[in-house]
Amino acid sequence: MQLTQIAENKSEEYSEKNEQVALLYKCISKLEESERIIITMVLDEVPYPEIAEISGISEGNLRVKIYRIKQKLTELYNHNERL
Amino acid sequence: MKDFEHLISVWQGQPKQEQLSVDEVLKQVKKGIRGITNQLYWGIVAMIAVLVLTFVILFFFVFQSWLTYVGIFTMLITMMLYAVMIIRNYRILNKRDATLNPNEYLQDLKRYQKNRAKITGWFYYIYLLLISLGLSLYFVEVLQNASTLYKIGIYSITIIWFLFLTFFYKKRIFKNEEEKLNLMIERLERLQGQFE
Repeated sequence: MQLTQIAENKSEEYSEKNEQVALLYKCISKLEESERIIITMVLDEVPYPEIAEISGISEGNLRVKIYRIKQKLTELYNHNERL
Repeated sequence: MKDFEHLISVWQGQPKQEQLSVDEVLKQVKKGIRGITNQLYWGIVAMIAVLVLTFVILFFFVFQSWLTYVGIFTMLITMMLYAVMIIRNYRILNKRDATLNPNEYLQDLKRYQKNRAKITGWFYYIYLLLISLGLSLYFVEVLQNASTLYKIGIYSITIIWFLFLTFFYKKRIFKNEEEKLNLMIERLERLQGQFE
């Protein structure tokens, strides 16, 4: 009985995680292409100097850009989560 | 309200897509293909042995009826056709090296798969039909003086052998090969997609 409950909880947890991942992908897809590339690198925890080098933006500009993209993505996520 | 840290945890919590290692895939594909070519090689050897035996029967035995010769020739030509097909398949697989040109190698595997589907499909039934016809014509004269029991025995063994080939060997062995081949093609395709 307990095992069934644990399995059920696990599968619920798993499907909830999947939903969250799908939602995150959906929100990222709504960003502009350059924003998408930058934010996926941020999510992958690529160091900022490296992102700056790959995307060809100065580190100062990049920090501002990343701050805005983070805000935009978080808003999109929270908005879509409520729907 | 979720913050960005939560998004990072969602992103990093997703199952990582399995990246295929090139040398691992090539090693597996080469091993799989070696198994198939070995099987083909022994198939060719067996077919050549049967062909030689049929030639011996044709040239060293004298038959009264021309129908017997028609029977032997029918079997001979059918077996030759089959031998040509498997030799062609063998050459397709042995022509290229997976390491040197994975893309062309993949195309060869697909070509082999198509040819193999022909052999297990319509060609197999034509082959079976012609061999049965040839054998029947051959048996008319060869078994004319045999006892009824002996005739029944020979015909039963032949029919059982054909049924075994059609419903066991063809289904099991070819299906097994097809599964292996599909897996190798899928791996090579994934490997190709990984670099795009």
